[in-house]
Amino acid sequence: MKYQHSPRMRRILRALAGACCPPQAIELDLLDDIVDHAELTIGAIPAPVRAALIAGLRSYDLAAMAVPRNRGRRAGDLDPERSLAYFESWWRSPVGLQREFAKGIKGILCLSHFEMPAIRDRLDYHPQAWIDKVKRYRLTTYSEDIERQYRSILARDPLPMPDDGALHEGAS
Amino acid sequence: MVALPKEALHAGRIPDNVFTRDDVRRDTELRCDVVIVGSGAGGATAAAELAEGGLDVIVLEEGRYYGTRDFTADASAMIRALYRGGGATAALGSPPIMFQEGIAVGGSTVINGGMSWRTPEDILDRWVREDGLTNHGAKDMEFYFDRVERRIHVREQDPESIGRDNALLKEGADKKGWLIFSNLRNQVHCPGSNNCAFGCPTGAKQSALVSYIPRALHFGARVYSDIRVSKISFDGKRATGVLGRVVDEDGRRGAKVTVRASIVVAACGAIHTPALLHRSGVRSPSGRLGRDLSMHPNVKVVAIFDEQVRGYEGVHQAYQVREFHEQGLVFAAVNMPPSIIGGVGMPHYGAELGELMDDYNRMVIAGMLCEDTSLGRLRMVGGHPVATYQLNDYDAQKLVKGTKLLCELLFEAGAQKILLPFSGPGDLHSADDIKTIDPQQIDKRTMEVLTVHMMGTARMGSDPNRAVTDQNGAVYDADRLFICDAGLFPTPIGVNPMETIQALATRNAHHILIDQERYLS
Repeated sequence: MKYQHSPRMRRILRALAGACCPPQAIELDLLDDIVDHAELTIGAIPAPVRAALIAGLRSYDLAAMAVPRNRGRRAGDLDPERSLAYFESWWRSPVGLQREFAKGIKGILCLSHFEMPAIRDRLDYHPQAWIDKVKRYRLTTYSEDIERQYRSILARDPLPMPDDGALHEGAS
Repeated sequence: MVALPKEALHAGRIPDNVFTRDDVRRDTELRCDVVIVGSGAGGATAAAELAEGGLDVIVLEEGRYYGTRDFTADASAMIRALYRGGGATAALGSPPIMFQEGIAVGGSTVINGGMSWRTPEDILDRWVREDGLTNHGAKDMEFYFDRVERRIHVREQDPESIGRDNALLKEGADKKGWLIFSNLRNQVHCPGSNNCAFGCPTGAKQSALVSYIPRALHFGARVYSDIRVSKISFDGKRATGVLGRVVDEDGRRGAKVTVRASIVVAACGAIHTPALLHRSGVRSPSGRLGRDLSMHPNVKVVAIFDEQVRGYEGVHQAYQVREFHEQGLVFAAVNMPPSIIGGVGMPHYGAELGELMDDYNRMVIAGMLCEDTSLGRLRMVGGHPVATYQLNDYDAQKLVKGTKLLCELLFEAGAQKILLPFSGPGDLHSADDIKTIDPQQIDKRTMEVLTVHMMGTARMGSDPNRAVTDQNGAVYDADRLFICDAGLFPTPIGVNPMETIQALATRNAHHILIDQERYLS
């Protein structure tokens, strides 16, 4: 079955995206799109890793309640300022598992952030246009060589057999 | 011989003798001379040679069949489609090391950078000397390297395909007086779209998908995609075929597929071949199956220049800096899309990450390949391989040393700022800052290490007490079971492994063809 975020998971990830992605995620109203995109990424990772990640997200959510300044709120319910401070406490945690979790979830959410068309525009990153251009150039400029390689791939060229009298020493 | 429409190669039409999960809806039993598990560098090469040699060959591939037209610049969609586990695979250790494997017809050749280098002669000499691979000397292997290079069209890049990031790498190396080579790549007039790691969208890269697989199909091989093989079947010690199931895109299992064959070739890569053998009850007398895992760990730096670089407008790794090859270090420019570099390539977040990424088009991303001395291993958990690999202090310091050298080169080329792949020294703003990096002081646990070169878990050798296979890739203590992938390497090779895998697969296939009467009886 395809992975889908639960409503709570969406809330946690939305808060995390606001904390670890660049500010344009909030300024350009991209948080929901980033969470949607992260659903695809999380759905593609191996089931045991996904289970560990979700367990980590639940722990992250609940552990926020133990931080006095969060006033009993879970991570998904924190305001942006507190959410950032809480994320940073995991990012810089002396506990290796917390650091690895923060690094991993930042990776997933920022990957989604930089895949957003608005962010690609902002970076002036348009690789598909470049690909289309050079692909056309290749096909028009080098069609003969391309055709020659195609024919070569299908041309008969069997490995020599002992009866051929052309077997080199390395064959055994 | 099967007529193969050109569209199948370049426009993505599925050839007639490629069967997908849509074609296998009921439990199916197939028969052939040779069944090959895996369709990457090793499997596809062996399939083409054996099929041309007249054997009836079936290739089983866990991933899907994609054509050139399916490959786009949507990096995350391509990763989900083409990378095992969506790219989230790592060797456990401190630091954990991310590794990537292709899962599609064509295997990892679909997502590699297309570097085609022969095994260095000193490595082959060592294999002859220390591992008893008496038929693997440079002269013996030359025939196979020549053959592979002809097939996959190994050439230097056309000058017009070289982008500014690689030009800057070369300028830096030239100013330092360091040895730099034009990379040899399996390509036909690659125009430089720098999308190699996400499937070549121009069809220029001669991955197995557009070279050995079409050739295998042309000579009558059948390729079944979407088949996950669970076990090799045996009659006593003799391999008699494989058992698998159709899998859908969510990994759900469908119809059973049973293949009965005279010869079984495992070509699932250095991680999954040992797992398949282990699940099948194969226990190497040497105890080395799944051990001796080498990874060519690599780290990357991000250098920011005060000019437009636009690294995606040009070829991936046009050059390799070989000045320090004897010390086990090779440098190259390796552009990555913003989602990868901003997501997992930089240890920053929030506003700071945003500010750095605003300079994306002024970045040169450069990395290194490190010939490692650390050794990892595979453990089986619920039938699945779990890799463990502890980067030793020697290799960690070599990576730091390499990083310092690479930074020297990049500052010489005009870099204004360099972001490092480990914590401690902070960002560098001039060549003088490099001196502040003390390899002894870098905490290796903070290193961002990744790899695409997994090797050595089913090593070849003449001594059954030290190796998993003989020098023809035949598994010791089993009959008619061969391996054709990077697991065979007795040591790391210090260069990109694809061509070595293909040469060994050609050699192993040659051996099978020469002795086919014995194996098919």
